[in-house]
Amino acid sequence: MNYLNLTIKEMHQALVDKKISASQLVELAIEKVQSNPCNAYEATNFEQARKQASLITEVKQDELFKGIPYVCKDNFSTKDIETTASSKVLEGYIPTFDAQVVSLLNNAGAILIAKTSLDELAMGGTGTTSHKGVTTNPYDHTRIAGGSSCGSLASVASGDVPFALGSDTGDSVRKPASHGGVYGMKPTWGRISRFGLFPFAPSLDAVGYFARSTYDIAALTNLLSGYDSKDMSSSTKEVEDYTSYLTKDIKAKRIGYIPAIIKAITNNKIVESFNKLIEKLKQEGYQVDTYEFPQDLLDALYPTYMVISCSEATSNDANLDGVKFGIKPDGSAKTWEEYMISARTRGFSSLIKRRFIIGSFSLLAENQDELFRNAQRARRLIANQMKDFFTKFDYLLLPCGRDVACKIEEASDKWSSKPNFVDNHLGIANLAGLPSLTLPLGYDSNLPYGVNITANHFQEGLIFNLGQHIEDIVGLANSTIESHKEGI
Amino acid sequence: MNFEPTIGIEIHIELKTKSKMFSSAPCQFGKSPNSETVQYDLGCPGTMPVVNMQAVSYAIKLATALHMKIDTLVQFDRKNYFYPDLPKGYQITQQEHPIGSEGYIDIEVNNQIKRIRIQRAHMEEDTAKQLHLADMSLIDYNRAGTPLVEVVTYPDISSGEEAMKYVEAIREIVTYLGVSDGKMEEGSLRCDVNISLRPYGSKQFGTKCEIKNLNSIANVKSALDYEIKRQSEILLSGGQVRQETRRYDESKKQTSLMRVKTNAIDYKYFREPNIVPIQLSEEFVNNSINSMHKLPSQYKKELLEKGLDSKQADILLASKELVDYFDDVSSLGVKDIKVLYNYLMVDILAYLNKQLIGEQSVSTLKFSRVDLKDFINLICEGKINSKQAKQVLEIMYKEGKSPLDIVKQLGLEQVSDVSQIEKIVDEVLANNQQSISDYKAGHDRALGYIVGQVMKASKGKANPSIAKELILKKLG
Repeated sequence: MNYLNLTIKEMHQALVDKKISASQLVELAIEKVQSNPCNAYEATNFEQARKQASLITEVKQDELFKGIPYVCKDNFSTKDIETTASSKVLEGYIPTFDAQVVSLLNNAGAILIAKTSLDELAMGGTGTTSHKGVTTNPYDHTRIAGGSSCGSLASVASGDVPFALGSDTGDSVRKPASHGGVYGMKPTWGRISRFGLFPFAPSLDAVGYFARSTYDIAALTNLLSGYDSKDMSSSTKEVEDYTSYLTKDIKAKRIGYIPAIIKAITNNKIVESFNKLIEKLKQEGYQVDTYEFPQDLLDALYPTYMVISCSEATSNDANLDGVKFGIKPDGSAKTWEEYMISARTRGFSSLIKRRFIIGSFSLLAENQDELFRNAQRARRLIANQMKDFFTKFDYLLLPCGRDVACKIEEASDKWSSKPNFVDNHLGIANLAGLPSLTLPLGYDSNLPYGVNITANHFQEGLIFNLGQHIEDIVGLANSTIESHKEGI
Repeated sequence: MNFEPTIGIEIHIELKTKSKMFSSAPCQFGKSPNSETVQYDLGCPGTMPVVNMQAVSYAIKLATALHMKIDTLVQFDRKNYFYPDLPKGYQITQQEHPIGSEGYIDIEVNNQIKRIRIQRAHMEEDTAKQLHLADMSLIDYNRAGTPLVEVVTYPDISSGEEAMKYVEAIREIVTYLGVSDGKMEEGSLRCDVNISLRPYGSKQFGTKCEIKNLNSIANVKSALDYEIKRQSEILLSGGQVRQETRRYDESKKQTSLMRVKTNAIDYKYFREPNIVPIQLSEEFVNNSINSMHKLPSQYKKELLEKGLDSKQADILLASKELVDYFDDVSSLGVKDIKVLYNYLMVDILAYLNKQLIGEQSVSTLKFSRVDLKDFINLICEGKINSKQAKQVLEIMYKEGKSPLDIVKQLGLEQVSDVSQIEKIVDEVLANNQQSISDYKAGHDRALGYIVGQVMKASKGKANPSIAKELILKKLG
């Protein structure tokens, strides 16, 4: 019996029934983390994890997270654990406080095993730009894991732990989830406190998480949601019991999809599975129909996202100047300008610098109207389009991208002159602040791909209702690389 | 040829809140370096701003005192630039939507009222403090994040004198409101001045210079006086004023070049994404306004109505502490406020000035405001005379006892009952025929002797003026 391949719910039951102890689980997880072949980890927390587990003698039925090992993307502040966001600029930075979500998990008894790699400072969608190099896809090490939450995906898909924290600014949890055959959730903007999450673009950022079943995702949403006085943008809206939505009955039945996106998908297998899924959903009583999303708005997704996210990022990361923490400049700096220039020149990779320049350029007074403010206008149009969508539908259902994870050498984070909307449509949820869940849909030549549900603001519950039904139809709950191999 | 100076002033006011503008760190002046900081103040990644509502309330009070429109939708922007004293690499401020806009303040110059229009008042966070040593620079983050309100005038000021009066008026308002210490020497009130000259009658403004480092109100005036002279001389000799930032050197009483202003820095402002706009409730705004401390102008009006003259009112108003104290005591029901004024400004101040240890403050007085009211009314009602009053006050200083108790204990209470005094007067007159004759013969001193005898017979308790009146009546 491989206990690490269980879902949170199953693992919890094993702990309650004393089939395994928290300490044994932690040892298993540490072993797996140490032998993970994907280059998925940053700092580890083994000693603290062992200590924490040793104190757990009993797990009660209502203590779902107690003794459950997990990992956390390295852009969450963790007290006493080096946190670099996979950037040279933060090497040696040991935070003095825990992110709110880390505190919540800690208080619930979950055990942090390690921090996971990411695209430097969460800026990227490939998982290839960490200061420690490429994080590979557990299903094929010549392919990308997807980013920016590449390490968290690789960890959960490898079966090292049952869940992981990530962050999602454009699709940084939901895209990798698709590439790794697991569940990846980004809730409504403001549903979960971002306190302690290193900001990339705060107006788009959301705490996200990977797990291997709809139930686990719903249970995590229960635990992590709610107002936090340390984050003024967190919502005071009541936190529902999201697991109560995991029932057979259909709580909302109107599903819409965008034909232009389906048409642009290059992998036929993905289209076939998607169509098959739609047919099954119809048979179960859902109404599925098309929705024409204006093409110019689809084309605007990528530039709008880039301009807004880079603009905010150039400001958010201005604190990384070598003065207070992180990288130290070389000894030759004589003035404060030289000091900061030296730290930032050596601390950031060229990809990051390019994004800063795009952001800075967009914010300059002479360009702001044409770039930054125009991007905000486009963002409003996109959000309004989704408002219109939700007058007709309860869900937007789409495949996550045009293909399975690409080869590492094909991956590029370069600004493309011809942005491809089909690989960027998950960003709609960030631009409009909507909740969105990726679930496994199928495999093409043993490479996973996912399907995505996006719903209206604070309709996480509905997402889990439909998610459970899709999970039942597709039959891909709790798949890891190991269980998949056993299956074939 | 003469020139007309055009002057605008930006004042940064540090608010006296318990904690910082966006963090929970305390902010008091003079604490040991970097002891008043939390992670936010150092710009640690993942920390987030939480708006200090006390600061918002203070800003509303100040904006109201300056007759400004209040924007009840509170929004913040980021001002982006790199500097060692700026931990986050940006400052959170209110560029687009200042909390207060379009107000004014009236100042008095040469017995004339001049109105200075105020463009805006916005909230922001202060920077850290740098300390430059010979071989290194140190940063103290205690000040980083202290709440500031920046008040910006229109260029309505036309002399050093007016500028000084304006800064004085702002300083007075913020200290009376209790929203700031208003201490220029400690940096809790800092002003930058913009000045340009143009020929009288000209519609176009001249090139302006900015003067920084003005750390006293007197320096505002002398720096501007110097700058007006300097720019005039340049213009008169046919030269052109260069757009520059200058600093004031107190010892030389001169301004000197800091840097030539080229293109303005582009601060790349944009909306602070971590603070969703806050709609203030009517209740919050009203509570802030209704709890405003009285302003000097209002105090003055009231003091004149209560019977002080303008000069007395001004003397009191020079100290917020004294005028507050005076107002408290007089509001308790003092019979004659001039008597209160005299005792407070002469006797009590003299007593406080003699105290060598500790603060010379009315807050150190042992007796209560009610005690002082009772004391003043004992005098007003003629129950104790001035000599006895001094005696009572001495005991009040030392023991903080109620004057009513002191008077009873010492048996000092004056007898003002006419029939009681009349009895004594009759006795004294019966025993002093010689003095009566002397008085009738025109020797006025005899009257004083008779009054003295009445006082002696009453053991000092008789009200001397009643006694005198009765004697005169009886002597015809």
